[in-house]
Amino acid sequence: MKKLQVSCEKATVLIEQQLSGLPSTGMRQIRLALHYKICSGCLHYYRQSKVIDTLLKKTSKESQSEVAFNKEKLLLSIRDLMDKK
Amino acid sequence: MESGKKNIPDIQEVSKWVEEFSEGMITHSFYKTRNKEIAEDLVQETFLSAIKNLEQFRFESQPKTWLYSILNNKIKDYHRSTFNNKSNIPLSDSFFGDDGHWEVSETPSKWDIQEDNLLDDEYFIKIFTSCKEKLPEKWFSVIHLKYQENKSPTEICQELEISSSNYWQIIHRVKLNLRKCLDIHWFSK
Repeated sequence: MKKLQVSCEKATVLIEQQLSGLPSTGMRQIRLALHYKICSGCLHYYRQSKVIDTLLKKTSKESQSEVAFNKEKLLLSIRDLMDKK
Repeated sequence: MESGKKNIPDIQEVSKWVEEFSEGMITHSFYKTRNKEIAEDLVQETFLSAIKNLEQFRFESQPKTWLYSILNNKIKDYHRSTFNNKSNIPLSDSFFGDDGHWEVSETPSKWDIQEDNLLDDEYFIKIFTSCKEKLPEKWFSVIHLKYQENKSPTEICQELEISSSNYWQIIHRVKLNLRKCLDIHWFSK
């Protein structure tokens, strides 16, 4: 029988899957509980990962407002393309 | 436009489309690529494709819909090529030892934070953004699709043509690297 090797690395991957809203099957719950139990630092990792999720969402939304472009330049280049055609 | 008189749009018609739609298309493209130059290039390529395929356009359909469908395909191609053209995911093995447990120096410790205050701190957000910019470019497609477009892991894997394990590996590495960067540049200071 294959022995389950518990580790912090596996715990953190399972934490990510849980935070991403992956359906929580019984098997995944058990695996997470087993890995999580032996992992010192994983509780902090879990909390910090949630903060990073919030930051990634926040900064992704904010980046939308940064766009400012040279429309004239684009129009010229598109007209140039059309002239060539 | 008088229906039945024209079957294929002419250059003047396309010029009108450029005037009318290019700004919105660039904003849309920027939103999906996070890069101004690439966003402009993709819109240019979209118009080029449209001009080459004008005979495929039918006036009963909306030009905007047609142009955006070309643009969305270009954006998908861009994400796929960004992903596939880069080398394999760099191994950041330094976080864990051979036994899979945290390296002593990498073990997460408590962040002394009040989340609400922190998220409004401009300087902190600046630090976080610079941490994010240090991540490998190929991870951005995954970050964008997950956090900006709210796509599911399955949808992201399909769109980028990556395996599920590859996807989780990237998300995991993104978090480990961002956590470490914030630890160094904010929480340890």
